[in-house]
Amino acid sequence: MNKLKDKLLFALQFLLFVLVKFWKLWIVLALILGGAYLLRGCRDTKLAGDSNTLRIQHKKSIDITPEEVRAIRRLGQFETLAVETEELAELHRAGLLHDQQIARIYVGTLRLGTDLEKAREDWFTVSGDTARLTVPRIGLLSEDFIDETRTRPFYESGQWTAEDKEKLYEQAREKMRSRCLTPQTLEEARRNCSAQLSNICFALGFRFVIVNYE
Amino acid sequence: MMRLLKTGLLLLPLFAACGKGGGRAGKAEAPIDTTRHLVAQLSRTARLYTTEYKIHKIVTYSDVSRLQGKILSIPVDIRLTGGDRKVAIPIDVTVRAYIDFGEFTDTNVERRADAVTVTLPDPHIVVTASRIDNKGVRQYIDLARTGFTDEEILNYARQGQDSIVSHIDRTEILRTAQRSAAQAVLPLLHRMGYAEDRTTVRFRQDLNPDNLRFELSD
Repeated sequence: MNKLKDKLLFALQFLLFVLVKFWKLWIVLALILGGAYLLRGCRDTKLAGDSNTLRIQHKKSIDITPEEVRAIRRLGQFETLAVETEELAELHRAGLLHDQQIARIYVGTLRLGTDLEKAREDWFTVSGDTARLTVPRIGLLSEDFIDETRTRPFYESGQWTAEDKEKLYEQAREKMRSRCLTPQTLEEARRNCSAQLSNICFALGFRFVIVNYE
Repeated sequence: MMRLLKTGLLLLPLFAACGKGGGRAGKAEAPIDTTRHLVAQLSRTARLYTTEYKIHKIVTYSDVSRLQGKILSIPVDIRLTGGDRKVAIPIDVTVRAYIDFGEFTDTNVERRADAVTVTLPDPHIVVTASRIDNKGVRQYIDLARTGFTDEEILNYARQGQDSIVSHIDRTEILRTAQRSAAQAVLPLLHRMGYAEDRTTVRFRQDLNPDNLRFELSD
């Protein structure tokens, strides 16, 4: 009986010795087991169809901020031709180790027509069943024709300042302007202006319409 | 062999510098003239623009990192410190109201003796231009995060414009557009010989902001 007791005591002492001697190993094993248990828990949550597993979340939408009407202007512009266009603008900067580039696609609509606000006082005269109109010459109704918030970013590498982005905007604006504001489009706008003004006058009851440009 | 290797290592930066245009490399900046025509669409119109609104908005976006989810079915929501970033983007949007005279025919004009009544087509609203104040854009970035990319800034600016469009007081712009259109047409009718008290310019009776068409260039 005493022999058995000694053996048990010896086994207990040996176990205690191993526990104390290799304490680092036991901590590592405990951590591995704990980690595996956590991973299994996360996997079970995912398999259960709950998409809300542990992850870093970022908000997608902007904050709610007020809008301010800065100006209200009365207009009298008669648009007769709209040219919708897109323009790719890019900047390139040579570097020692690598080049930097930025490219954007701008969207804009050039509106051609006549500004009736600038017409003479007697621009519309009537004699019998004839209407005689003298309107300002056809041109670009507004220099602000780019919808910059609809710009599509195409490529970006490196650091670019606000001045660089202003350069891109001006580059796209000038290209759009020179390409779309041609004698052909102005002539097309003028022809359509005459047609549309005549239609309005015919609808008002005139039989003859004469449209002149300043 | 070692001498050859040393010489090669010494000459390597020189070759690299020569290849990039010498000492001015990294400073020279010139726009490449590769701007090209992508799309151009012409459309004949007959629009009388009567009113213009210029609307300003500072679009803000706060990117706060949060660790969210579940561990062992226990909900977790922890805000990660040092991982925030914010951006403020000032934008200006130009909105115009117009009357489409392409829809105007003799059925819009009603004559009775020496009186005339003109029913003008419905006003429409369109965003004609928008501008991002690039110099006014401000970014606040924590150490653990990178700055906002061009794509992200443009995306938030676009959301800002959509927000303006959805919040615009359409009733007010509608009334202003109608008033301006009437002021443009009435002098023509007077010159046609109709007395001031015998001319009427009116709009569709059931017109309200809900059936107002809003156009966006997209």
